[in-house]
Amino acid sequence: MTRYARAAAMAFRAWPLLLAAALLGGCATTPAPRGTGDLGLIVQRADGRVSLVDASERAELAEIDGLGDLSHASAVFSRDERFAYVFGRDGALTKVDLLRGRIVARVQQAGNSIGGAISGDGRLVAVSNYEPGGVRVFDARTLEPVARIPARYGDGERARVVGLVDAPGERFVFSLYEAGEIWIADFSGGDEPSITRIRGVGRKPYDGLITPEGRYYIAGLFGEDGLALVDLWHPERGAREILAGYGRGEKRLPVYKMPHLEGWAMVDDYALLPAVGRHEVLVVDRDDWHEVARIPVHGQPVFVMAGPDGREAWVNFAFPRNDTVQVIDMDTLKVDDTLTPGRGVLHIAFSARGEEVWLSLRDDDAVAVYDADTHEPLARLPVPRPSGIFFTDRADRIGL
Amino acid sequence: MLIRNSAFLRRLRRTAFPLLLIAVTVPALSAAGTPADAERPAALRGRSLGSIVREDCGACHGLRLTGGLGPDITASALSGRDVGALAATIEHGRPGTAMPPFGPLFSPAEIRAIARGLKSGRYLQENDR
Ligand code: HEC
Repeated sequence: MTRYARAAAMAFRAWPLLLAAALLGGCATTPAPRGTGDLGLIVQRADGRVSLVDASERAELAEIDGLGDLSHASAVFSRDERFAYVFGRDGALTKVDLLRGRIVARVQQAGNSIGGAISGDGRLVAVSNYEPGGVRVFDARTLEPVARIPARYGDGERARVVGLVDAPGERFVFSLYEAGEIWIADFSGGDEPSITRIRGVGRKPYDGLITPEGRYYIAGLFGEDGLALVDLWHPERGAREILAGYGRGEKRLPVYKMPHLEGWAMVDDYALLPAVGRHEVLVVDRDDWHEVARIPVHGQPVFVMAGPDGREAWVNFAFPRNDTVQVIDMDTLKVDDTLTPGRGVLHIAFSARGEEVWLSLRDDDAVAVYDADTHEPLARLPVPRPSGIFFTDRADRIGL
Repeated sequence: MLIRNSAFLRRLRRTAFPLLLIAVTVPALSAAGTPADAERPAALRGRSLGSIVREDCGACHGLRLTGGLGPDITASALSGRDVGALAATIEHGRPGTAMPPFGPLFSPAEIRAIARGLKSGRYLQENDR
């Protein structure tokens, strides 16, 4: 009986739709068990809080507090989609239990960090740090430290690490901003990584992405008009610059927000990516990585996100043009709709099957849900200063 | 309202946004000292300087201004720094780095106010919009 009482007490401290009580006992008040495949987290960047949401219900189930400075925060999920790992700006790594709606582990692992990744086998969580520059790797179960990779270059200074992604073969790939290098840390041999260091990839890599099949790592370069590409099947071949000098000779606009590469839309033969300092989306042929077209858009693109069917890509824009979203038709490679969902559109997330698009509207304290087909608004959830939206289907995707 | 709905301006905004911003804000500036709220880009309308600093400078400097891609710009990090020099950095940016010029978005008076606000640390105590 006391066991049941404890389970019930736990249940009520968390939220009603709870698995624990269902597992532990069969009393009459036991809430129904549920899965996590329809859940997601929305970062409330100013309040150190995340909202736990049900995507089908379009409803918030719980708010989880005490995550610290969440500017630029992102999340990855455990393979069973029960746990989220949230990477805060202040160097904290927090493990959240989606079923119980609460924090289960938390480490203050650096002074300033910018994101992270989980290994393909689900065993390791890596965090990319600005201060002190490098990568730290933790046991995904306990958040016990596993490895430290200081990003030393030149005379031993430490570079800030950006664009950290997981790659097949228990590898993590990341870029060193000041050093202009891309490193591959291979954990397939155990907790002691073997590091492949690719030097001279270009000036100031500011973000990176891995293509959905996990073969190519691409870093955007802030210091030049071009991107660095590494074929992860052949890291010994080093990096090559692609789209070198795109827009050379044209004047760049001031960049008030760095574009994000993570959301690169990859559809058939094409990749769509945000141009830095230009009101353009670049269309690249994925066979030989040359520029096919440029799509003029409303502002400087931040995210260019395609749904799983690849039919359209949704684009948001940098401050101060961040009240607008445009939709690009992947057939014609033209903008086919312009929406003004609200102020401060920070992030775009497709539902797992792509029938809905969720937009965070930071300066309207809301998340808007749109029909991906008709582009009509379906719902609006009140969420204070939302930024990143992360659904659990990311658990099964390389690089997310 | 009139300005915002003009098809011509919409087209112009699409192609020559920064120029237009200057064109729109400068006349308003000379009248009132700061751009009239209604004539600002939507992203700035109805928002306090503190909110803009926390959220939009915070995109690079961190929401608590303790640094990110850009350096720590909290009051303690900027102590001993000259308001005029900080204002110049904010207005013109730092060419060759990721620090962009905010001259096209804010009046010189607003930029000085931001520089003073950073040094006073007040933006981190406030939480207004
Ligand atoms: C796109 C990124 C970005 C944005 C947005 C941005 N900054 Fe910066 N800022 C930087 C970088 C990078 C530097 C460092 C430049 C250098 O290396 O000299 C910097 C430097 C500065 C400095 C000089 C600090 C020092 O110690 O000399 C000040 C002051 C500053 N920024 C204020 C602001 C303010 C105020 C805003 C918003 C109105 C802002 N920044 C928005 C990237 C940014």
